Amino acid sequence: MRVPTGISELDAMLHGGLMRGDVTLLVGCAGTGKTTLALQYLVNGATKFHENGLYITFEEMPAQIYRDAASFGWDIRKLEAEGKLRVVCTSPPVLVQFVEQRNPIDAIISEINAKRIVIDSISHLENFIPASELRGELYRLINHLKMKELTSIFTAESHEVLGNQLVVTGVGLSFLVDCIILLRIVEIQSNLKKALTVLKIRGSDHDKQLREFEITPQGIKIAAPFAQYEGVLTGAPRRSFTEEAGRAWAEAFVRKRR
Amino acid sequence: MTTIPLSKLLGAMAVPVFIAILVALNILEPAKLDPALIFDPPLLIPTVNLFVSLVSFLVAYISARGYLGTGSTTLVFLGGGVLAYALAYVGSSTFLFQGSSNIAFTISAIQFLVGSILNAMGVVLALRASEESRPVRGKIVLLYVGVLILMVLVTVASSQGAFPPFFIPGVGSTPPRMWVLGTAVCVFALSSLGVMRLYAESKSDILYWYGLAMALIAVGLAAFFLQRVVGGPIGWVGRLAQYVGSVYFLVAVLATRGARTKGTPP
Repeated sequence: MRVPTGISELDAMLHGGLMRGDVTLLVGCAGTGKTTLALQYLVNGATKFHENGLYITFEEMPAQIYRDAASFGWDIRKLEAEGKLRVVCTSPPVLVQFVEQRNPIDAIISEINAKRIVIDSISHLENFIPASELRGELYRLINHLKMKELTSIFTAESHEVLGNQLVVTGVGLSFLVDCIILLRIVEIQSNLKKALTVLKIRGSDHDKQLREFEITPQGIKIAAPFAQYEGVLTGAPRRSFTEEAGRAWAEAFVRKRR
Repeated sequence: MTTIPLSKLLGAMAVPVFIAILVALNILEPAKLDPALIFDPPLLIPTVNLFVSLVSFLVAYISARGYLGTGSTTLVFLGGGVLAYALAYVGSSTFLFQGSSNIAFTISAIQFLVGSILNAMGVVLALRASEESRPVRGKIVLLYVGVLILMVLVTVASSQGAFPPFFIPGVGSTPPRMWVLGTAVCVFALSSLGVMRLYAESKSDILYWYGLAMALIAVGLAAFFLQRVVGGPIGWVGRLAQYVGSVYFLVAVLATRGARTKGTPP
């Protein structure tokens, strides 16, 4: 059973969408579009697929969320008024309690019959929970969400903007989640471009290509793969040999007009 | 004053050396060749031809990538020409292996001619400094598929007897083959001169080795005029010239990487 994100190219990459009840880690450095993609997932769920959603943020106040969403044409206030979406600005300890006892978040899930949830960002838990307990807390949180049959997206911040190292999280979260979507900034011909790839989906095949994407006034738009380049994930890709050779041949055979 | 690297000098030497050997053999080789001097194992030619074909396919592919990346129409014709050259080897090897020498020589002669003409068109466009345009994938697909279809049509027509014989076993090449090959030799030689003229302006390693490769192809094809028997010394020197030409194609491809690391013109 698939849960479409409503971003058609991403759904194609995921072979139909996220798996129902799965937890997806959306990882990327600041400015890559994690929040936009996560919000788009919830808005599309509410408006196109009749699946209500809950957005939990530790970073931004609701007013900021409403304003930013409005720039993409998403009327969050209206969706909240219709009971299709709820934005909750809280702190990590509250989220952790949510696993342990009945609290307002659990109540909201029941109230709006949420099927989708976004936690933005899971990286904040590291500041509130001791490192030795973090993995266990995350494990409990993931299990709790799965028991509630929520299809979840966790955003996580990667600290490396460009470079050839990829550390998804420091606590082994990549092993706990079912799906990992990586957002990356890459430099191509002195331009910073955004790249997206699906690193894993448990129990399903997926598109393994690295694709360029943009944040447009309509939200995330995923474009063609970086087929002409090698080493894109290192942050400094170079053209593939045949592509480079083709361009060099063209340059060699082009006689400049005098 | 710029000095020419030794590798380039040695590379260029191959052309006069092959010509000199062919002239010498033509003078020294008796009209009736001793069977001991004939060397024609059945699998050797197809095997070496496979190398020529693979290198030529690589050049055709790189030309296609270059066109799609830049819109240079020159590369469409160069790629089509090299593809026709590769298919000449594929077709002739296949039919030679089956013992259909007339079909093999008909396919190779016509494909060599087509290859030479397409190459020449590419070189002429380069010399005229034609403008680049927006790359259209269909354009290059059309030409490449057209070259392939042409080979199929020539094969069918040749096997149906639609062409005059190009090769009669026991007799040798016929005038139609000589005319077709002769034209291809001239066109390849002229194209080589055109590429060398481009090289004189840009000093591009790619052009240097590409131009020499075309010259060696012309020399190799010219040897067919002189050979008296398949598998004789003249025939092998001609083939060797073409094989070395393929190595030069490969050097031209690898020159891309050298130019990138050294910052020299590609």
